[in-house]
Amino acid sequence: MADAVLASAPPVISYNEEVIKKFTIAAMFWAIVAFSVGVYIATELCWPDFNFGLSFLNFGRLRPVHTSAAIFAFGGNALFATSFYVVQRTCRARLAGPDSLHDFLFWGYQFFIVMAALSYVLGFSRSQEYSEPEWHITVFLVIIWVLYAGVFIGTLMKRAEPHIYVANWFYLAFILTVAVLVLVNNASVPISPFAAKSYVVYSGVQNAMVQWWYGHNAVGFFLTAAFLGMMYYFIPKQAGRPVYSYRLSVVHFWSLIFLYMWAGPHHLHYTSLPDWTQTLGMVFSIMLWMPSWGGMINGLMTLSGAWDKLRTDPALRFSVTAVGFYGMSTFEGPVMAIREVNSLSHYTDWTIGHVHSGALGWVAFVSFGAIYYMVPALWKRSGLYSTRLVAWHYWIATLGIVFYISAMWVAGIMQGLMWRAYDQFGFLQYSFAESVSAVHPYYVIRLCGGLLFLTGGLIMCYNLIRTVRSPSTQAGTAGLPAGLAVAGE
Amino acid sequence: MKTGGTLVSPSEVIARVSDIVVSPGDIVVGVFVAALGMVGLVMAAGALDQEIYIFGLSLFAFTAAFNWGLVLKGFRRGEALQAELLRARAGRDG
Repeated sequence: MADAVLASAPPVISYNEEVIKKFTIAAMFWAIVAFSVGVYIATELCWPDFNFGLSFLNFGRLRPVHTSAAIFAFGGNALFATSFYVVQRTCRARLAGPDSLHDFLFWGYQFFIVMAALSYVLGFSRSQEYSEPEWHITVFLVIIWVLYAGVFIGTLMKRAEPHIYVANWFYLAFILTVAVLVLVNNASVPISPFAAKSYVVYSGVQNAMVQWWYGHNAVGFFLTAAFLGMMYYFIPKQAGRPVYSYRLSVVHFWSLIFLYMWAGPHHLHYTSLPDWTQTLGMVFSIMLWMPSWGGMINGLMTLSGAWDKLRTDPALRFSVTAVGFYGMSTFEGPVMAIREVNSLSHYTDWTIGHVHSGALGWVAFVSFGAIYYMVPALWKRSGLYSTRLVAWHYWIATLGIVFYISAMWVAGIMQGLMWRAYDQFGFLQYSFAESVSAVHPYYVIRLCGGLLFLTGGLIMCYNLIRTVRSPSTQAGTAGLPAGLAVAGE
Repeated sequence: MKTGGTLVSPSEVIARVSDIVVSPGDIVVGVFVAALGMVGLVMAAGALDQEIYIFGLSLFAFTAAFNWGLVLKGFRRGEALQAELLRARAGRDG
């Protein structure tokens, strides 16, 4: 009988966890870099003398370092780590290709990040938001990305499970779409194969349109679809519950990826882009609200019957709060895409607040939740070193986000109102410099928010290092499931 | 042939080379990475600006370090395999 059971049991698969560990460590390293540079440039915005007159400390050069470190370095590494973690387990297959290829993916991606950051600091940039690297760095990224797609799709193809779990659909959409976006938006002609400077093949408003088709879909597929994939695996795992509605997950997947493609023009309201294109972008942005909230509802409802776990597992709190922030920022986005609202919000700090409610509240929080779950599992530890430190991290980071986004909302709406105010003679009531001066206190509050978020990140790093190294978390020291503390309480 | 201050016969060298455990996949990756390194060198050699010069040299250094690591891993795998064989032989011989 026992022999029959053993014979029918699925074979034990040796997953490649080494590469996931590397990507996880890199994600945390780049998180601290991204938050630190963010805090530094926030300081520069409060007190410009902090650039010390040095070109490489200039806000204009450090700003893309911050955004790239946050999105592509921290977010990208977290996505590599979780996608490899999820695809192997849900397909019951080891990553396709030799381990050396996976290692090359890891080191190659880090090389891309370092080279991109270095080039920004040296003053080389395409000056297109979220697409700053010059052609040679982009070519290198394309090589890495094609290999990544090959490994991911190869793993899906050799899966032992008949079904492709929905998280993998989201990851796959992210990988394929980012490839298309990068290739199209980076179409440019170098002045020489031995020079960094290149010229974009599009010009004028066409270039703006392609750029924001890319830019908004980078948000849609890099920062939304992929992290939804993360949500669809880790929240059910953390909650110990199945996905609330698998049908809803599939419906909102297809509607999300169809609608996102058309929303880019809302970045170009009141420009020389044809009116009908702007309206198209606006309408699709509003329609996007529905699939976005479909994901939010599915994520939150997965906790039905398991809400009590929020009291004992602060890592789950990160994931659930992330879904809340996702719902909030995907409501705010369509509102800001409405032309009349955009006339107030565009070019103001409201946009910065919106972006950070998504980046910090959604992207970073859902990544933190996943990493807190993965680290004890990857390093074969009995649990996290301290759930109390996770709770501290949670509250400090949440407070930081609230400081940040509320300060930016107030500053942004104030800027918008000051810029459009007229006196009784029809002249502008305020000079631009007056609006800059007016927002100074809010910039200081934003800096405090950023400092709190960075502090939370450092606490997380300490907790994770202790989780990996502390004897108290060695497997077998306690029978508690991952996510519950065995030490530090 | 002289390695580490001692004379080693060619047959021993061949035996040592066979200590590396590399898969065909590792070789493909290694050759591909080496080719990238060559591209980096060519870029640095013809660089018209500081950015390409730094990128080209960095690419070469990165690929050299990566392939060095790949060879090192191959040797480590070989050593682990040999140790395993020795343990198995010791167990068999009592």
